[in-house]
Amino acid sequence: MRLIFLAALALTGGLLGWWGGLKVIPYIATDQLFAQFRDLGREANVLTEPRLRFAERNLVPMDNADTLTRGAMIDLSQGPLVFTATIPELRFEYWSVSVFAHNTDTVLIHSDRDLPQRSIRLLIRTPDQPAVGVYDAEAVLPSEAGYLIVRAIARDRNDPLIVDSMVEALGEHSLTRAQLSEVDGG
Amino acid sequence: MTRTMLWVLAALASLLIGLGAGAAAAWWRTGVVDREAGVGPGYWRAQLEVGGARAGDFQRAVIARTGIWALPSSEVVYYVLERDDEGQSLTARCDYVIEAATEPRTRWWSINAYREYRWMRNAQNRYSFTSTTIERKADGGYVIDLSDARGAHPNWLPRSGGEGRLTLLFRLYHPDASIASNPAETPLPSVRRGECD
Repeated sequence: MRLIFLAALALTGGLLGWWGGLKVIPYIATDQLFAQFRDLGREANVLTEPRLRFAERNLVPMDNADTLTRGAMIDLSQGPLVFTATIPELRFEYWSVSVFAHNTDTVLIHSDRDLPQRSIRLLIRTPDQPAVGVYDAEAVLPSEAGYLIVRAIARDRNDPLIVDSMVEALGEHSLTRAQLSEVDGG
Repeated sequence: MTRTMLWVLAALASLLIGLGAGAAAAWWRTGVVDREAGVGPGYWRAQLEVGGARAGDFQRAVIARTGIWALPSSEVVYYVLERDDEGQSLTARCDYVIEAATEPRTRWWSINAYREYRWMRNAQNRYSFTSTTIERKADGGYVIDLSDARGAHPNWLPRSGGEGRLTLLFRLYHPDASIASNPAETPLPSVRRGECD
């Protein structure tokens, strides 16, 4: 009887461990990547320079080889952020900005298809941070941590003329801290 | 130490062992793509809940470890393949011929090859072919040689030799609505095994 009770406890623990493990793995995967990014000198709330990735130095599993990307680790502990971009007309097959929660869920995705005005001013905040100001869209993260990615698909990643022009155009995007007057109306 | 204390310790140990085993099993099972999950033509598999809030805990955990920051299916549909036409597991030790007669209705598509979920190093820095880089045959179809050395076809996706799991990922950006409603009918390429190392 006691052995059955101990086995039942172990089984209950196993189910809890499985369920809890699945819940925390997305957070762990995000944190592991953030740690690797920091090791490379990256800072939170700073967009990486636009770039293609290569097999020799690629951290993201099953990455898309044909996107030029800009990314930023989001930390909203000091307040909301504003991402601003004009979508260039240059040799792009696709352009989007997406914001992911700490658990990797997609909080927001806007692509060039959704933006006929070919520009976006995006507020990134938590639910308890006020949204005052004029923006085209807002991404409300459930926590202070998240990740922002700009993806631009190159017509041919092996054509340096195309890639160079895309790098220049993507370099105009910005990620800045929201001004107090923009978020509290003051 | 009383028998009661021993009993409590045994109960705690059982619970902790169970917790550890459960968490370890979750970590182990989520480290690889679930190649049977989802729907698609042949052995290709798409999970349309990927990237969205509808994804289950297991699916979200697998994607976080094998393809983090995937987009929802309204934006991109991802088809994964880890078996050839004969049902054999794809391996980085073998060459493959990837061939399609038609293309899916989508704004843009690409096919990437990965060994252990990472691109294979090659001098050409060629990891993919896309709807804008593929060279098509006169009849509109295409053939890709995924091989150690350049093959007979104009589209060569270099495979660097070595052991390991091989995965093909077919991305469809802004897919036609018919793809989400009938993902098993998407025209995706066949994959035939060639010579192995």
